[in-house]
Amino acid sequence: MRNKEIIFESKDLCKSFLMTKAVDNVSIKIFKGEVRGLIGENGSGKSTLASMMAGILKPNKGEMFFYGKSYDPKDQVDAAKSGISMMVQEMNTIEGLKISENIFLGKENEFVKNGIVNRKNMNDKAKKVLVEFNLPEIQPDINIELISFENRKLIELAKSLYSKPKLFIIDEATTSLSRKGRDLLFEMIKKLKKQGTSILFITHNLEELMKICDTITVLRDGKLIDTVENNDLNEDLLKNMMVGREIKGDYYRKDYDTCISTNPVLEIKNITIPNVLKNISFNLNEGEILGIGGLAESGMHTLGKVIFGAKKAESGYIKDIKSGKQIKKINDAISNGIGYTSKNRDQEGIILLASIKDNIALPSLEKFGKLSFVNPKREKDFCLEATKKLKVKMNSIEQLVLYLSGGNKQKVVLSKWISRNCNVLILDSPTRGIDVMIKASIYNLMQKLVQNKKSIIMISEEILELIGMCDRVIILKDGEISKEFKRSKDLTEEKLVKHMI
Amino acid sequence: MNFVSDSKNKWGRNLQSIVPFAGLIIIIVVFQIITSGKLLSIYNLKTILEQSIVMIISCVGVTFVMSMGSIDFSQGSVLAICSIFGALLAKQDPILGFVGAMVLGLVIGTINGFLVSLEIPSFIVTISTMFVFRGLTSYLTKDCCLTLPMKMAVLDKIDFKALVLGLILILGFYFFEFTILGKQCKAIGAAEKASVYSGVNAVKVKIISFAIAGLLAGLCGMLSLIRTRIASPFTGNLFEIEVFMALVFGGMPINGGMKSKMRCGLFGSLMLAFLANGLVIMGVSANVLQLIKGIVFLGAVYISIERRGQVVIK
Repeated sequence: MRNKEIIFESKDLCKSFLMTKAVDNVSIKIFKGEVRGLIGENGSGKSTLASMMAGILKPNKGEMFFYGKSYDPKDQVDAAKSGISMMVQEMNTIEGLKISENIFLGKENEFVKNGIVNRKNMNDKAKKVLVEFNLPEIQPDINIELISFENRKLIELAKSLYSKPKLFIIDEATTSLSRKGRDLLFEMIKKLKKQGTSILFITHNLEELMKICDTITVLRDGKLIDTVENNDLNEDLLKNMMVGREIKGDYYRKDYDTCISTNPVLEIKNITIPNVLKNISFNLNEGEILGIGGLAESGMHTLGKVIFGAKKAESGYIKDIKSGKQIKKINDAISNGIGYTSKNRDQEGIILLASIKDNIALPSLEKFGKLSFVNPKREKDFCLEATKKLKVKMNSIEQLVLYLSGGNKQKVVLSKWISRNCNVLILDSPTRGIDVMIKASIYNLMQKLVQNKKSIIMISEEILELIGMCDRVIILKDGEISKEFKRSKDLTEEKLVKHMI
Repeated sequence: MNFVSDSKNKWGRNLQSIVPFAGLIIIIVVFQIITSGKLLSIYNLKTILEQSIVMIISCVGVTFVMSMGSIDFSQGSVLAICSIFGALLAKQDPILGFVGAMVLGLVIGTINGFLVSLEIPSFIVTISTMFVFRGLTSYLTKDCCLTLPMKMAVLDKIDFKALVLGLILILGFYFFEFTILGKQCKAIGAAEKASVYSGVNAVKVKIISFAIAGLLAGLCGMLSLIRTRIASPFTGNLFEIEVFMALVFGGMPINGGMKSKMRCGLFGSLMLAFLANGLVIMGVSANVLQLIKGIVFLGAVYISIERRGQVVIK
């Protein structure tokens, strides 16, 4: 491995945003045909480093070299031409364009003759590409918004790889993919490696990282800590390097025989939405962590929205047992002490262009004065208290949430509900895209809440999380309840997955 | 991961908060010098205040609407139709005239708000309303303009108008910055979906905001009637555009959101008034004045617009 050719090298690369030093004198070497993992807590500088490599950001100081020559891309297109391209977490395909048009975006010249684009050739080539990516059932000449989110992401992958990059960067793009999508991606990575392409894989998922990477580089606070071979690794060591101190191996619950009360707090009965959910019925008990698992399209995310009153079901109802009232819209849920954190944090969970204070105060405005007056001091004190409780890392409470790391954004979302003393929390993918430290603190928080007789519904695609944290797990398959599991030491991933697919 | 692009727009963002204060002072100083002191004479200051009262009051209402990321293009037409309605009612009783005009404005505003809450973009709704009532106004005044009953002419005093203005400004400032309504308007402007998920009743807030804008347009109708003594087909023509310009000048973000402030309308209207007044004292003709206003407006928008996101009128 050491004799391999260096294809990318950076020397003392620096990048600052206002006061924050995001990347601090990073010197990294990447070899040909290597699958390099890049990890670090939120704010460690991973995405900033990758963005500089992909031409999205310009470094403040330092140099980069690609294949021995000085590398200073003007922008992303320039970088792609040189051979470095990147796939990101957000959606990067264009609605309104056909799938073939999306795949060959910017490269239409290949199909142009006499000034006219030959659509048939483009579609034929797109078809070949789709087959190569194990998506033979998709027609290339339909609009891209008609296919699933996951397949759109895979099309994006096809697009990025079409130009045959020499260094391909994947920046936390796996968090939105299902199992099938991730397996496909890993197949692609193996194939690319054989062809001599180098991959830089950024993710929070340590298991994935250790499965496919040859070497792993750890960043902390913008500095490069170390690059380690996969054989020399274990999860605890990685966590240690990322955080700089001891992290115990297991951060899930340790208890196994806790008695859960059979007092129901929420009744979900016969919830049906054609083609999405079919006759879903179950109760949420007091002091329980109820997990809901399944594939991404199983309907569980929609179910979470229905329970919160954000989506209407065709038939069936949600009833709050204590008040006896039905939950028909969001305000019903909130006034009955129910809170919700969405999988789609940036669009539904938090207002990016508002301060931490405004975000936390929003559902509780009526608490700060009489007759709809909002007393600024009471508002501020209330929110400060909430951020202290969850230890939100921030510069000031007036700071825009936009500037916070993913984990801290999630803490703000949780503060919003915890400050209201909600009795029921519906958490959809609460630890998605969040680093190890904050994940652990969220699990800790959940345990404290149920000890105080609060009840939690946790919807998650991470099976280990469900097994580790929940008293019961309900598995959804194609919109129906397929099986219910009780918490036990013998529960394994395989047992649950069997009922999901 | 979201990045704040280290774009040239850092300047624009800071500028947005400085422009109202600095801009006003600069305009006053420059024109005071150019007009050799005529700008700040007592008589002229009274004139400037007279000219801007109606605009400031309309801005108060539109601030609620704009902070949600919406727009109200019907202000001028509502002003006109309420003028007419108020003139008719004032023949019976002056107070009835005021009340009637404001109630009509409230009703039209509520209709606007209701339609917007059905997910129809606000510029489509309010442009339609504008056309309907502009047409109605022209029809009702085609043969003769409606006039103000003589007994109401006594209200054409600066004291009365300043009192009304002061009252509206105080109420506007209080309701926008210190009550649940104002905070929810700004939240909707910043991110409607996330606000709804935090318990904001977007439908209710939209209807109330447009209703307020309509109510104040109705009040403006009566004030305009008192000042000009008539209601004609041209009453309030292009008024909504000037109100929009004033708000943007005053630092109001075009997409609304958390940075919206009630003071934007006040400062913007005063800036426009001093600018126009100063140019007129210098002898600039009405057409050139229009041209200059337009150019300065474009400049202000260019500097301060948040170009990273798109401008979407909701």
